[in-house]
Amino acid sequence: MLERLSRWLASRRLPKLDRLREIAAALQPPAEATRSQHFRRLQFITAGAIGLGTLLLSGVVYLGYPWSQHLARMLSISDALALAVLVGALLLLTLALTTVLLFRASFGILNREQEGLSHQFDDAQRTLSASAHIDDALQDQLQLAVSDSESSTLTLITRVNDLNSSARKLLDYLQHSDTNASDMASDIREGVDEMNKIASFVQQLPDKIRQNNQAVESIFTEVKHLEGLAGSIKSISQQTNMLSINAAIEAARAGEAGRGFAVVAAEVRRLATRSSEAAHTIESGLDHALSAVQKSLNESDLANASHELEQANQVAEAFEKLQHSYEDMRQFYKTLFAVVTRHNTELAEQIADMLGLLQYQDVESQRLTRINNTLMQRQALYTAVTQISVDDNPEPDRLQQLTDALQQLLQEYLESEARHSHPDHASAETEVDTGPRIELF
Amino acid sequence: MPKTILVVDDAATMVMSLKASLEIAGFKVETANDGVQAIDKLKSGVKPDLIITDINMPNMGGIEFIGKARALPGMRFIPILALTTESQQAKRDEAKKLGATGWLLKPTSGSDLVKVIKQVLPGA
Repeated sequence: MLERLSRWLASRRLPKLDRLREIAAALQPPAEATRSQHFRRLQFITAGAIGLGTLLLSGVVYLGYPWSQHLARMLSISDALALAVLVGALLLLTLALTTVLLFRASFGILNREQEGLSHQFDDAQRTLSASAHIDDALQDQLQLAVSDSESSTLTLITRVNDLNSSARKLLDYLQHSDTNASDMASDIREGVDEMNKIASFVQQLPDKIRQNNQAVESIFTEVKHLEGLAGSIKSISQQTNMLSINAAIEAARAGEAGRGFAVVAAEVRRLATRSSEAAHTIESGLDHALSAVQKSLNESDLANASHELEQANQVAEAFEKLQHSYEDMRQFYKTLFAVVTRHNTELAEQIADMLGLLQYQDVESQRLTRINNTLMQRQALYTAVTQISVDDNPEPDRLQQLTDALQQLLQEYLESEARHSHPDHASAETEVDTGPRIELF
Repeated sequence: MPKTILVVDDAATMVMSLKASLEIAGFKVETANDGVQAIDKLKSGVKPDLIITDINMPNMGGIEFIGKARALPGMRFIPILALTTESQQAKRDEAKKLGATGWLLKPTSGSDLVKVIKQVLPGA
């Protein structure tokens, strides 16, 4: 069991492991080599005592034979009996001597062993006490590690939440911008339509002006013809005037008979004068009208207006280009939005997976807590043994009880570990012995 | 209308990471630190569409919580998933008997968890 404990300790990467190994080694029973050494010593003493006794016996028998004969004669017994009594007495003496020597040697060995054991017990107690202190320190460190990892994980979760929140805000902003851009696009489209209408009007303007000019020129030609008519009226009025003068001359020649005719001639002359004046007025009005029309035609010279018209056309083209540029920008914006949305979705998925990985902290925290609990129980066992005094006549199997208790503790710990999942960081899909990682009933 | 999930776990890191992970997936999340708190929430009117619970918790463990939650009115058919480090078959069987819908060992990735939730929660 202790070997198993040592092996288990060796397999764990825990701090202060050497010290723990020392403790496990201290719990080992006394070495067999020491015991056989004591046994050989006792054998040697026994053999020495028997050899010495035999030698002594032989010498005494040899030297005491005459004395035994004397004794036989004195007690009126046979020589053989006297010798037998002598040998027997000497045998008893030798046996007693050997026994005494053996006892003394045994007691000496036992005393030394007891002292050794007592020292060993003290050493073991000191070792266990040190080990209990190590356990205590380890427990503190384990609790600190659990607390630190929990604190770090919580901070990490907060940061990840902030990250996700920022990504979400970015997406919301883009969505909002997309809506605004759609509204703006509608306004721009309407504006561009209006500008296209204006541009179309401006483009058609030269033709319309040309048509108007042609109409005015046609009227101009017609009016010019009227100038000839005014001349004719003027000529007719002059001829009429001449005729009225001739008629007045002829009326004067005729005397009284021509008096009425002279009145007619005077009237005709007045009519001719008025006709001439009317013709003059018409001619003058036509001249004014024609010069006004000519002036208007001169002012609407298309050659002079061509530059302005070209500029107007360029403005329309610029608006069309602007519309195309806006459509391109809008398309780019849509693509950008789609890409950002896709990346944001992937980011959210990765964040969710990363948050899932943070469950390792809980798994490891529980594992450390189980180790901590085991250390606490082991510390209690060690402390109980360190409080025993040798003078209190402790039960001889007390160390054995500690060993059994440690064995049970180890067994419980291993069973507890086996009952909990041990995720393989490389592949979380592996199944544990007791069932699948994900099971739907 | 997002589905509501009640997360029951005594570890603050578990509660926070699950809450964040499930909220990213579009769920509304309620939390409780042990079975007693969770039962109180259910009694106070919280109506989750699904419950995720740890098994080893102080005050009231997950197994006992599943049994008590199932006995509450309106909770008979709500899916309950156990998310735990406990892998003992006997505990699984006990949870199953008391009405658990599934058993997931920690750690379970966010995507796997959402996949399982969508399996047991139609329309999620």
